[in-house]
Amino acid sequence: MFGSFREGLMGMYLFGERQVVGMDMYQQVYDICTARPKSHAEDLLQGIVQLLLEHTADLEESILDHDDIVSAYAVEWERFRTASDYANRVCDFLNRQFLKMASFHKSIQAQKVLRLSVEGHAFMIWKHRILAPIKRNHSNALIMQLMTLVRRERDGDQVPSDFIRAAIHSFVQVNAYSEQPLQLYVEEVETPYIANTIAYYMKESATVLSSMSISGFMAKALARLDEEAMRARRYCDPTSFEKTIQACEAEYIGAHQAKINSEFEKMIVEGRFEDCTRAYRLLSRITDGVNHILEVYEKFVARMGKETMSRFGASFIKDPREYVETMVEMHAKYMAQSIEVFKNEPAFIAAADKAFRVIVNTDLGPGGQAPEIFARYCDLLLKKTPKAALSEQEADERLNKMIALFKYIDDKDVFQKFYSRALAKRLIHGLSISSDAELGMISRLKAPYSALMAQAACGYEYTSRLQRMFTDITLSDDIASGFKTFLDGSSVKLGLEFHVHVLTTGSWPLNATTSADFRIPVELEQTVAQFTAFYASQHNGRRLAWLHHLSKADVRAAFAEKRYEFNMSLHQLSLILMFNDATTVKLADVRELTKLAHADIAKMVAPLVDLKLLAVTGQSAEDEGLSPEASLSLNMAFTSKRIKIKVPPGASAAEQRQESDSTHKSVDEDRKLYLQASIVRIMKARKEMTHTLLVGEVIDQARSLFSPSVPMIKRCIEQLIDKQYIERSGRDNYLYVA
Amino acid sequence: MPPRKRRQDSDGLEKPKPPAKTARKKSDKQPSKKAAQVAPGEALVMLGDGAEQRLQWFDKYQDKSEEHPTPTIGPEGLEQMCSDVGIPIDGLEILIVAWQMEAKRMGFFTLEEWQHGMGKLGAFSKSSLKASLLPFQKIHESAQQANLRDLYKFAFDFAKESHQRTLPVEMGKVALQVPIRIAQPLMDANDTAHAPAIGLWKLILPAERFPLMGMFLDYLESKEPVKVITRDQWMQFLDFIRAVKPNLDGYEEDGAWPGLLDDFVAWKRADAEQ
Repeated sequence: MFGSFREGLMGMYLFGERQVVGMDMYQQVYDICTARPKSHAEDLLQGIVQLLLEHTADLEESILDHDDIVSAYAVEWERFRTASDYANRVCDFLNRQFLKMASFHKSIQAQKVLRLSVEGHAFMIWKHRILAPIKRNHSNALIMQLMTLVRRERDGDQVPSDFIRAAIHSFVQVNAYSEQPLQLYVEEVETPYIANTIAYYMKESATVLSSMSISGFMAKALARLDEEAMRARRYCDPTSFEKTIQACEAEYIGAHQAKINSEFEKMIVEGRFEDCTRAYRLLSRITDGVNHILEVYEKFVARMGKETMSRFGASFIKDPREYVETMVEMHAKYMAQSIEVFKNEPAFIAAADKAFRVIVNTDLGPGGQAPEIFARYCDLLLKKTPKAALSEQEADERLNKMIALFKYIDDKDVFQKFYSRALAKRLIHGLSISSDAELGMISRLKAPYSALMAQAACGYEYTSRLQRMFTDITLSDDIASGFKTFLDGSSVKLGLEFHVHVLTTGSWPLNATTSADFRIPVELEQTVAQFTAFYASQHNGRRLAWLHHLSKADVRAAFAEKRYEFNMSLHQLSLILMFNDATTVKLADVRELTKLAHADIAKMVAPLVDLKLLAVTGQSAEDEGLSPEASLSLNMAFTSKRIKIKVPPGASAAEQRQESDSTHKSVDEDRKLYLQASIVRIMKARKEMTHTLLVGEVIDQARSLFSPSVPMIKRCIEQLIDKQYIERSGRDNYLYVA
Repeated sequence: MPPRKRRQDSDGLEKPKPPAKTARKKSDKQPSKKAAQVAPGEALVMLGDGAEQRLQWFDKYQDKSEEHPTPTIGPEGLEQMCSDVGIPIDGLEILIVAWQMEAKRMGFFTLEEWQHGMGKLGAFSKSSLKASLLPFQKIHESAQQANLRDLYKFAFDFAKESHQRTLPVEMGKVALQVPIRIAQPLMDANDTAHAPAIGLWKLILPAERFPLMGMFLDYLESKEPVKVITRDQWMQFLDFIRAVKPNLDGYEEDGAWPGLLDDFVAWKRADAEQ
C-alpha cells in the first residue's frame, strides 16, 4: 500500500504526466495510520521524509547548473512548495495523528518534532538540503545573484522580477514552521539587501550631487525614493519596508541634508518654489529635517516684509492706507505660498505667522507703530468724507482683510486706545459711514479678543465699552425728541435747533475740557438752561458737564449777497456772533466775552481768516502769529462758490502729534495699573510666589493685550512693595501682605 | 507712580549748618510723643545700676531751654559731647550710639533713649563710652554680620524725613562735599532733620571695603537714575552687596533685584566693555 502512496507522492513532486488522485492518497494515508494490529503512521512519515531527501538530492545540483540561479531556484521552489502543500493536505490525517501523540509526550523537544506537519518536514528538508549547501559550498551564489539582479534593476536593466520576488519570499515561507519565522529571511536576505541599498545610494547620491544641479539632485532623489518604496513593496516582506526606505532616506537625504539646507535660502530668495517644495518633501521625510528650512523661511518672510515696509518712509503718517493694504497683500501672498509650496504644512504656516508678528510689530519710527496705523486706517475707512472713494461694502471688505493682520499686533491696547478715540470723534460729529459698519467692526474686534482673552476678561469689557458709546448716541436721539416735547409743552421759544449728545462719563475716551472757563454765547444761554432743567427733571441726581470744545454749530449769514451757511465749532460761533452787533471786534473783547485763552482764539481764527470771512487789522508786520492787540473785521464782500461752508476747527499737525503722544502716555498709565492689578490678583491667590513664576504669570495674563517688559513688571512689583501690598521673603520670593 | 518729592534739594544746603536756634524754636511744635508718655523717673527705676551716673552725665549736655517737653540733648549738646568723647560729629560712631539708643530724631537724644542706649552699651562716662564702642569698630568688616543689617536698617528710618517713605539720594550737589552730620543734621524748611542716602552709604559701607559700593555711588552720581531711594532699594542693596562679587559674579539677570540694581549692573557691564 505504501508503494502506491509513494508513487503518488513522487508524481506530485515531479509534476509529471501521471494523474494523481488526492482522494485516493488521502484514503491510503488513513488506511496506513489505522492499520491493525499496529498503526504504520511512523513508518509512513519516515517513508515520506526518505522520499523527500531523495528528491532533493539532485535538485541542488540542477539548480546550480543554470546560469540564472535565481530563476531556476524560484521555479524549483514554487514546485516544491506547491507539491508540499498538496502532500500536506493528503496527509492531513497523519498530521493529526501526530498532534494527538504530541500531547502524550512530556518532553518539549519531542512535542515539537511531533507537531511538525508533513509540510513542515518538507520545508525543513529544503532548508537543509538546498539552501544551506548553496550558501556553504557555493559561496552563497543564490543571494549574490539576487543582489546582482536588484542592482541591475536599479541600473535600469530588465530583470525577472517575479522570480526575484519568489526567491526572496522562499526564505520567509520555508521558515514558516520554526519559532522565529522571519529570522532566516532577515539574516540571509534583508541584511544584505539593505546593505546593498545603502552602498548603491551612497555612491549614486554623491555622483548625482556632483554632476547635477541641486534641483536635479532633489528631483532624482524624490524619484528614487518612490521607486525604492515600490521595489521594497514588490520584493520584500512587509516588515522590511520601513527599514529599506529609511536606509534610502539616510543616504539620499540625511547624508546631503546640509547641502540642501545651505541651498534652500537661494531657492527661496530666487523664487524657485518647485525646488522649495522638493526640498520640503525630502527634508520632511527625516526626523527634524525641516527645522533649518523652517527657520530660513521665517527669516526670509520677515526680511522681505521688513524691506517692503521700510520703503514707506514716513508716508504712513499722512495716509495709512498704503501701509496697511501693502501689508494685507503681502500677508495673503505669503500665506498662499506657505500653503502651496509647503503643502499646507502647519509648521510652515506657523513660521509665516511668526514672521508676520515680527513685521507687524516693527517700529518704523515716530507714528510708525502698527497699532496706531491700523487704528487710523479703520478711522479712514469708517469716516464719512466729502470725496468718499469707497462704498460701504468695499470698506467692509478691506476691514475684514485687515483683521487677519490684527492678531499679530502685540500692543493691542494701543490699538484699542486709538480706535476708541477715533470712534468717539466719529460718533460725536456724526461722521460714521453707517452704524452698521461701525457695529460690524466692533464685533469683528470682539471675535479675536474673546478667543484670546478667555482668562483675562478685559477684551470683552473693552468692546462692551465701545458698545456703550453707541448706546449713548442712540439714547441721545430719544432725549432730543423728549426735549422737543418738553419745549412744545412750555411757552419757551428757543428760536434755534438744538441737539445734545449725552455721553456717559467713563465710557468715552474724552479729555476733560481744556478751556473750562469758556462762556457760551448769550444766544445759547437760555437753550442750555432749558435743557439742563429738562434733563434734571428726567434723570434725578445726574450731573451734566458740558463739553463745549466738542460742540458744533450751523449758522446762516445774512449780510452777504447769498445766504451762506457755515458749519463751525462752538468756539468759532461765539466769535462770529459778536459780529451781529459790529463789523470790527477787538481781540481783547473776544477774550473778555468768551474767556478763551489767546492761543485758543488764534487757533480758531486762522481758518476763518483763511476763508476770507474775517480779516485781521491792527497787526504790525513784525508780529508773529496773531497779536493780542489786533482786531478782527468782517469781510462784507465775502463770496464763495459754495453755499454751505464747513469751517475747520483749526487743529494743526503738531496738535495731532501731541494727541498721539498723549494717547501713548495714557496707554502707558493704563498698563501700569493693569500690571499692578494683575500682580496683586496673582499674589492674593497664591500668597507666596517666586519672582520668575510671578513675572511669567503676569506676562501670560497680559499677553493678549500687550507684551510687558520685565523691567516694567519689576517697577510695578517694587511699587507694590513700597505700598506694602507685597513683601520680599528671602532672595527671589514674594509674600502677599493681607 | 514715583514717590512724591516733598522738599527742595537746595534749601537746606546753602546753609550747611542751619542755625540751631531756628531749629529749636520750631521743633516745639512737634513734641516727641513717646517721650511725653513715659516720665523720666520711671525709666530710671527700670534701668537700675549706673542709671544715676548716666543721668548726671546726661545733665551735662542737656538743653536746658524750656522748649523740650522731656529732658533732651540738642544739637549743641551733642556736638559738645562728641568733642568731649573724641569722636567726629559726622562719623559712624555717633550713628552707632544713636542706633543703640534707638533714637527717633536726628540731632536729639531724649533721656529715655539715653538711658536705654547707654545702658545697653554699658557706658556712663566719656571714657566708658569710647571703650564700649570698640567692639563695633569691625561692624563693617564683613557684609554678612547680623548687627550690620540692624544698623543699616535703623539708619534708613533714622535718616529719612519721618513722614516720607523714601530717602533722597543727595542734597543737591553741595552735599557731596559736606559729610553727613549725624549729630548736627541738615535741617530743611519743615524743620525735619535727615541725611542723604549717599552720605549714609559712605559711612556704613565704605567703598574701600566694598568695591561695589564705590561703583554704585559712581553710577548714582554720574547717571542720576533716581532722586530718592526706597526702603526696598535700600535694604536690597545690602543683600546685593552680600550676594554679588565686585566682578558681578553671582548676579542673575532674571533675579528679583530691584530695577535700579539691574540698571546699575547693565551700566557697569557696558562700561567694562568699552
